Amino acid sequence: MDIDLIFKIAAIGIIVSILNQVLSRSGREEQATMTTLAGLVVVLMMLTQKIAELFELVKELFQF
Amino acid sequence: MTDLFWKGAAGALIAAVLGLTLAKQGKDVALLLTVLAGCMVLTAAMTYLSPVIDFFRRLQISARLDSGLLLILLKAVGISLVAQLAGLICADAGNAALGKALQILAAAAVLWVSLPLLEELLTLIETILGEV
Repeated sequence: MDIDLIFKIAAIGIIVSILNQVLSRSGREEQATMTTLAGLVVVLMMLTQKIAELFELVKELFQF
Repeated sequence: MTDLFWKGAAGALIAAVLGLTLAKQGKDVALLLTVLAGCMVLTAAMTYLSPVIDFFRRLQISARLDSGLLLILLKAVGISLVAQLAGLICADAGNAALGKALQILAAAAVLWVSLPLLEELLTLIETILGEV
């Protein structure tokens, strides 16, 4: 069980939210939105692997 | 092996707390964190379930049961587990309708999987009624 991944995603979330705040306050709303979107995509890519792993495990264990 | 349970419990709690912190800024990453923690805990649960399923297989061989019966049961459990987790995550994300739809899909899939069993039951009933 890889708990590091939870911390990694939390760190990405915090960094993205700080960047979002900084960019929003300096009047760069578009860049703030793009940063949030980029962070979301990065986290989603990490998550997709884990979901695929889980589904494969369930398929293997329950003999689908 | 027991270590995995404690790790899972700790991971879920940490993810819940971090999720609360992240939810203040934006709910999307907090939701993804919940999905990840859910996946990891379910993966840990699968590790525990693997020897249990092997035991069921041994029981099935000892009782000389049809292997198809156990297979149907296992598939139904697998579908239910995944659908339950996914449905609850959808509900947590504020999309309860999607969660409910997923549960209906799971129920339909379980019914479809257990169709051979129902057909066998129908045949048995017909045989019994034919003998009377």
